[in-house]
Amino acid sequence: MGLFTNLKDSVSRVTDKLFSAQEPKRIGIYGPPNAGKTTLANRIARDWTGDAVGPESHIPHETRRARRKEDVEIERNGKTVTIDIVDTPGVTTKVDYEEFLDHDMEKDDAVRRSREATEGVAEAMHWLREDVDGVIYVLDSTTDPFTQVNTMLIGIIESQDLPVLILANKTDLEESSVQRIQNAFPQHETIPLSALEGDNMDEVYEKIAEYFG
Amino acid sequence: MPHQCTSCGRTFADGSKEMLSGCPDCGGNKFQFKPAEAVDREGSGAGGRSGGSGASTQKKRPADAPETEGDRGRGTTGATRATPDANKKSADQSAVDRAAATVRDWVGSGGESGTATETAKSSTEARSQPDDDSTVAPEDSAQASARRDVVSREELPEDPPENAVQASTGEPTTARTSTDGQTPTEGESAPDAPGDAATRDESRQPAPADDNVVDAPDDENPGLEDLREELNSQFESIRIESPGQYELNLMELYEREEYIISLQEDGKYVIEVPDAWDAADR
Repeated sequence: MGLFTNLKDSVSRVTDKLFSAQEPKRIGIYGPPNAGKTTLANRIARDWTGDAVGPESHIPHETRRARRKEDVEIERNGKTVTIDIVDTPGVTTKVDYEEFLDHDMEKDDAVRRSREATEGVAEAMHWLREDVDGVIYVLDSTTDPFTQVNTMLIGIIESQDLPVLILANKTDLEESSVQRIQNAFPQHETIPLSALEGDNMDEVYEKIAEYFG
Repeated sequence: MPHQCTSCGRTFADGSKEMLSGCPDCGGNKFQFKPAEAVDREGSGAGGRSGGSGASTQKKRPADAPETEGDRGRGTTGATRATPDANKKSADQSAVDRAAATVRDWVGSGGESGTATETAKSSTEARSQPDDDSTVAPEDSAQASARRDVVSREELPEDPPENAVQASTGEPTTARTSTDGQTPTEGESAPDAPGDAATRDESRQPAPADDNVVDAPDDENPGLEDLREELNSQFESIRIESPGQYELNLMELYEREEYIISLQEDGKYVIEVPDAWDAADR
């Protein structure tokens, strides 16, 4: 009897593995605008595939459509994890074209950008509901993490039981406070990094392998 | 009928969910928003059309039966309501039956969620209630709030005015009593004085109607402002403050099965149609 159970277990383990090998987990990179999501996505993609995901910019809402990089193979401690990275538009509750005017943009362009950004948020929320298996939540560690958007998104992610990795980005900046983010979400592990400088990426990959492998 | 399919021209009630799975006629997923007045000016063409072509049966029905609230909002039903008579009631009965059938259709087709089921339930309960005249009048006032509680205006499809009047006079009234076991919240529970109650009912009528004005299609100024307001009350997920300025309800966006994939300032928008994808896959 025991033999059969064991056999059955190992068979299902093998099929599980086969399945997970066939279908890489889709990991959404979420967070508020300008947290460094695309910079991180590009860093990961460049490190493991050689390509970038999309253009980065200091102007908020540069990413207005979700962009996917498939089959990113990450090797950690002799183990390989294959994931699809989805870089999503920054999630916010308010989009105002006027904030783009400060960045030397014509009004028409700013209005269009604003509309696209709004559509992007709708898309990002839709992906969160349907299409991601795990979330990398990127926060700008120089800003206050206690926002409605962060609380709501983390809440949604938790309610979906999705594995989530919280990254405190921009540690290269002086005002960065990783502690503040740890305090905001004590129920999750917070990993400090600078996606721009590539600081602490080793730990990030380790955690990605651990959480999403 | 503020929403119109841009490819085949079919119109939909403000708040209709039919279009959420794409236009039932042509499968299009691009719609434009037409304010109520614009439609009126077109010589009630839309209303006449849906009234006349009773041939299209089932499909038509959702568009017919429960379009109560728009008219209630315009205050046309007050008078009718104050004169309950036997004929009216049988008409009511059939209107409500059709409404219930409609709801069942929706539920059956999987196009609707929990709220619709509730409505169906309460309509059925309503029909099983004894209706004597003494109860009808005082309960009328509760009707508005009852319907507001059970199903929001957005969840009711459009229909021609005749039905609207009938449907709103009839059974849903008792739905309140059957679900709550209570008379209206206004506290004027005087079923022993039906005449009184009827008059009072008439005077009270504007109150719930006013409450609903927010999401009732307004007859005035089809300006861009109004248009935006209409859209806003419809798609609570995205509020258009002005061109380029948006407020987003993340929870709404997250919870909606369909989502807006393209916004345009002239009231046009494109939605993703989950059902259409399914159909294409099959």
